[in-house]
Amino acid sequence: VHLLISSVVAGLLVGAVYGLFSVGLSLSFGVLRLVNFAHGDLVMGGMYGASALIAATSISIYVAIPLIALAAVPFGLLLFAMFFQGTGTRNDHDQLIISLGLALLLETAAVNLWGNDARALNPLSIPSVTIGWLHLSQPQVVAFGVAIVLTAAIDVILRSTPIGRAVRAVVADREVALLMGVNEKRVFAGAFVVSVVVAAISGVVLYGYLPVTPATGSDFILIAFMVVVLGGIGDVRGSFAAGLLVGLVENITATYVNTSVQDVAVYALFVLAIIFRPTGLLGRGVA
Amino acid sequence: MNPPTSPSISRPARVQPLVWLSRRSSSFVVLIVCEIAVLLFSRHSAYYTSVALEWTTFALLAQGFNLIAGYGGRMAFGNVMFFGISSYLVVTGAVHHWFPELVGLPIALAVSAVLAYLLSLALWRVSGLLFALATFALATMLGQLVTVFSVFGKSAGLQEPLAVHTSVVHLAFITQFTYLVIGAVLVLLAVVATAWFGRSTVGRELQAARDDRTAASTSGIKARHVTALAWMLSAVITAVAGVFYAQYNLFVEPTSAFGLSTITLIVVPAILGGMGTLWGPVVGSIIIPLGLLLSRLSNGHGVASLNLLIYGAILIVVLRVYPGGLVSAWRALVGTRLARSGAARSTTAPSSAARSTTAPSSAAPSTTAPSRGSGRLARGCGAPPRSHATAGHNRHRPPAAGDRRSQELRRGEGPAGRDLLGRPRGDGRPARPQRRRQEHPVQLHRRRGEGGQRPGGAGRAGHHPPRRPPAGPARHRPDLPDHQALPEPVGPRERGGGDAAPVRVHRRRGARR
Repeated sequence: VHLLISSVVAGLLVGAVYGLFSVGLSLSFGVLRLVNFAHGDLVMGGMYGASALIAATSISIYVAIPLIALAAVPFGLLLFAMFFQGTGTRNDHDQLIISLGLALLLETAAVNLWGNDARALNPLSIPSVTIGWLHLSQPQVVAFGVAIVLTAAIDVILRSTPIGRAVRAVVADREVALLMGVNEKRVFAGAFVVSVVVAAISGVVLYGYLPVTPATGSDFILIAFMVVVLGGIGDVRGSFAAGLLVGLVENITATYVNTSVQDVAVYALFVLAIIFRPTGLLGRGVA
Repeated sequence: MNPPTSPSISRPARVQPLVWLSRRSSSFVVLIVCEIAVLLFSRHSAYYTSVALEWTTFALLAQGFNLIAGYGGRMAFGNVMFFGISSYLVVTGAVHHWFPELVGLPIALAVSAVLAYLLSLALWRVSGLLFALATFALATMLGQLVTVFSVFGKSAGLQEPLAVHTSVVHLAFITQFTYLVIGAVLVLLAVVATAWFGRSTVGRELQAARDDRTAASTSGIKARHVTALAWMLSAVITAVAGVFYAQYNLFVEPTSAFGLSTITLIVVPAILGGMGTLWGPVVGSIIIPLGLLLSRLSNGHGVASLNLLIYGAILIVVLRVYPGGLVSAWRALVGTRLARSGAARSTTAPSSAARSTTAPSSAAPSTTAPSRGSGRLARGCGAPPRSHATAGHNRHRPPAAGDRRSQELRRGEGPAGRDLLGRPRGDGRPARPQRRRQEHPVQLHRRRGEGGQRPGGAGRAGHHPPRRPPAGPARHRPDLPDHQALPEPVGPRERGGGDAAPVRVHRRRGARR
């Protein structure tokens, strides 16, 4: 039972972060209709950013969170202006392939900047938290907290502020939203930047307990895709819940079956969901 | 009213594909000459031979991808799975002495074909972006599954024994150069197959189904079946490439067989050359050897994996600057001359003209003509109906043609002087009003009361407002208030409201007959 509980808890902790960066992807998916293949690499960018920052200034990883988040804003704007501005209205597939190219660029850039070797925090420096007999690493718990707070914040913003309403309007019907005076360009740029920032923050908190290599991005991107589809596109709470679910399934399979199949169960779930419940498991997806 | 006899097909199909091939043989001769040149050039250098082998592999793969993604409008990112499956099948069979490679080859092809067919049926309702994701996830899933079983050598992969002497049963040849010759032949065959397919009845139906699924099924096209067939052919080409790759490498390994990097290498040539064009993938695949050679030049000093950097940059630049790819750029440059000479022939086939991707809303030239911002709306209404009943043969293209003409074609007129619903132009139906182009997209939607994205639209991702909903807009009224239900861009909604539409339309037609 201990094993089960600990794997459940670990699954939930990881799943929350999955949920977090998937919320970012969900935003760009829902608003820009952008299937962002580079999203995982943005998470990876956050991890490397944290790694570089910590190596250079030896600050705590928690201080790195707001710093990286701030740095991600202009970066996101730059990416948007360079790659995605104006492609949104044209065609879904173009954007998708552009983002595939961007993913390739980011990954190669990471290889060239930081090499192929894995980087991680010094494991000895990671404090742990003990609840009863359950030992968790502190960054993991903090990551969980950050994920919940950020997702809740995004959810509240989307639900009850004018900006959020504008975004939801665009998700629901781009043309009508335009007609109602929503500044489409700003919403696009804003949503993209938010998704980049969210990805970067997830990267930082993940770096607290996971190593990073240039290939990390492509691992995350699949998870993010699956979470978004399972949760229902454009559905923040659904994405978060699906993130938890994916984390859970992964960890339980890893514990009881085999680590190397941990994702197979998730993929199977995903394909079945796509065929049978394309609006998401919770069935509230907008798109 | 005219009985909707799949018109998009009937006319051009009168030219037998094989006859057409022989007429267009000049461009194939060019291909053969190029291939021979490459063969001669790389003959004496092991390195150049290996680069050229890589080149042929990805030319094949890109052509396979083009068939389903370009002609079929289905972004089958997971096409790589057939590559992986076939190479794994052949190598596994050989390593464990279950069956020799020559037997493995047809097995691999059959498995890929059947799998593609079934998958296409299963994923039919899943449209656009979700389809890309689903196939991508499937491929990755297979890649992970392979690493679990020791039969497949886990994550290390399998190594075939080195050939000691040439043996057809083992598809084993001593020199890499022999493989290269075979590869050249395969590329030629793939192009011929694509050309033939593109001109065949099924190919025509496929393109009609791509451009407007509802209209196509209204015209009696079994869109689902046709798309499945196309994916089957695509899977077979991909599987051939997989076996070929496994045989000259004598090695399979999960990441190269199923990985995202291979997907990228498949997509890059197709995009660069131009999707939905016959020659695009082959022309575009020149980037593969270029990238490899460049990255070798810069080896040691400069950037690592420069070729990947180049590929990524090319994807972005091509799509941002000239979404139609090289072939349509070339066509815009040379214009009529080329259109006559036939290199662009397949692409001037009614609906497929060099779009970068196939969603009708894409109207590729939007960068060249940015003013047509709302391309989706402009489509199908800009050009006054022209009587180009002969357009199917392209021989009679007006001389000024160039890009302009193909844009018109692309924008909406269905094949051979019919609109997409299969009614001949000039059947008394009022010409598409010019006004739509000038207007603001939103106003337009509102006025017509069919906001471009009605739930229950044509059931595809890059849809555009059906210009004439087959059963009249009234049918869809009930859906209208349902604004939060945006069918774009991905499937989900279609299961709900959308499902019924094509079927219902179909039935009505049937009843009338």
